Amino acid sequence: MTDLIGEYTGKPARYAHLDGMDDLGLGVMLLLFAVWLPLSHEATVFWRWLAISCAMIVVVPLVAWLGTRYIRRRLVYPRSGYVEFRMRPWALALCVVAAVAIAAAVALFLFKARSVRPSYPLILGLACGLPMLIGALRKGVPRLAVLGALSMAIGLALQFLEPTMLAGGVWYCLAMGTACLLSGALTFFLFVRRMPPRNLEAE
Amino acid sequence: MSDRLHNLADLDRLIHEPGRLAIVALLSAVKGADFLYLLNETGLTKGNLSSHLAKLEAGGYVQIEKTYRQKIPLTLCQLTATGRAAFEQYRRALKASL
Repeated sequence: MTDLIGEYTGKPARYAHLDGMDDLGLGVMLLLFAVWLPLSHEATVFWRWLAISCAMIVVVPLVAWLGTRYIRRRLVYPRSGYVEFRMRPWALALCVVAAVAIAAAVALFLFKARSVRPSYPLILGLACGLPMLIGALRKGVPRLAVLGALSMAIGLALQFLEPTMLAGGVWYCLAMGTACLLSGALTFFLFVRRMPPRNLEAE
Repeated sequence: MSDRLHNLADLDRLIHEPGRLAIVALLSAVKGADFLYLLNETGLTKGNLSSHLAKLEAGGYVQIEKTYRQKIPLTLCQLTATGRAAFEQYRRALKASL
């Protein structure tokens, strides 16, 4: 009985990943970052570099968020219904602490690894893959576990093939962005096919 | 009567009904959800869901807000503080009695 209650309380968390919109958004972001990396690398003037970086760091996630929100309103909510998630202050604080801890660990690792072979693709693979694996375990979404494992595998492979920051980063973003885009598109296609829109007023 | 049976007898009857338990459990994990979402996830019929929601609203466990989103009617259901506390109490009592 308590398991049944747990199953119901866990449903909204799985609902958030039902439509594949997060994968699509992440895919678009990673592909745009693959464009940003060489652009920012080539910028010789500091202000140009700053402008490109700000545009990509602020505008790209914003565009991805607005795009997925628009699609959700038009195509997802009429099918699966609308859910407003709670924003728990402690969860938000935990996310901030985790992000700071990861950033500090990465900075420390980069500082320590100055004399050895750089490990940028591996760090990217781990930084992107670990949260996906944790999310998959917590929310029970197998697709995220596959993407997380893929992210680590791509990072590990690029570590041997292209360990430099620019080329390795670009190849990682291209490969992982394509994988996320494909995963999101397939999930969304299956979601739309499985769930026709319902007009409760007309029923 | 043993303590466990006492606990079972004290279970909140308004929540204990399977349909309403599903609704309250779903709403406990979110800030709010619309009628269509509850319909999809609980598997209840429209009439059945309406009736259960009305009972929960009358008990002060659920707050129902009827609004519009882009000219489409939206029935947003939220668990009240009383409802949330009652559900937590129900879970504790159920755990203790099983």
